[in-house]
Amino acid sequence: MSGWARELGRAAAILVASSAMGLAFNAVSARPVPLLARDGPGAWPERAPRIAAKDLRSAWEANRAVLLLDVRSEDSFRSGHSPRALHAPAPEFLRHYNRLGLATVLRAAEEIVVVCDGEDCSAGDRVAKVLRDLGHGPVRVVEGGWSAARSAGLEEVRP
Amino acid sequence: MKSLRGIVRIALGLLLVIAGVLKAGSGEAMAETIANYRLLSAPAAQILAVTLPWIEMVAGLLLVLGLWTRAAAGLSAGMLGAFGVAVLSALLRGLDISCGCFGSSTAARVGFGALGIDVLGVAGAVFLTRTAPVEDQDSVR
Repeated sequence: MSGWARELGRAAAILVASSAMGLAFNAVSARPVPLLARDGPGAWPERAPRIAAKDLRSAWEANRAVLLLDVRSEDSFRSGHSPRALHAPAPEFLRHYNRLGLATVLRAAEEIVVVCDGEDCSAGDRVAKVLRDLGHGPVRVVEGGWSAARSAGLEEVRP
Repeated sequence: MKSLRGIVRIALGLLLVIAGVLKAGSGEAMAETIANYRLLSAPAAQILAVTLPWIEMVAGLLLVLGLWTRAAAGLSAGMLGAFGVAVLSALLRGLDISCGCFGSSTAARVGFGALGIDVLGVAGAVFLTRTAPVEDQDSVR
């Protein structure tokens, strides 16, 4: 067998063996990722309505009960957040929802606004869908994510 | 030449092992991170989230040990090359997302920093693929 053919064979063997390890590890893990689930993690959610960060700020300044839900990671949240935000990271949103008893708090809000990382914010769209499915009222997502929220000075608006 | 090769091999191997270990076990968050690139469908993102960390760990470990170096380096070049294309496409589309390079909980964003490390990784992997001795003379055996 020529050298390259043998190396290709070895590369394929590494690929197959390590993929099998990953699949086996997932199968026995406490919280396995559902595989080939069209609506499972990694699905592109329907785009939730957007709100401009400055409009959120105006709503707060007008004393409207608009609740900000920050679904970014622990690290991102720690590196800067709004003092008015509730923090429930998106990957395990429902666990945080139950842990923090968000059901009652969110029901009292006039509107819920979700902030996440980035322009695209598919995590925010996903959380918005979960909230709507749980029967919560109007949910919007901050246009432009946290960087837009920070630019609009939401870090400084105290409760 | 041999010592340079050894340094590149071990550095690249460690980089991959660390990247893999930090990602393994948080498959759901990984699938979300992959989805943020808006390149793959959910089923593909789930499969990749589950298998990619292990491919990185195994290929990285082989590189560190100097076993099957050419094959492991070639595979790494392919993986890192594909990742570089994904990062570049995210940058061109103006996506401000977590890169997921060393696990999805880190705040590292997709950007030129991530792309720079990736290009170095590809260069190292291609170098090893082309120059590592066929019979693993660099190995620890």
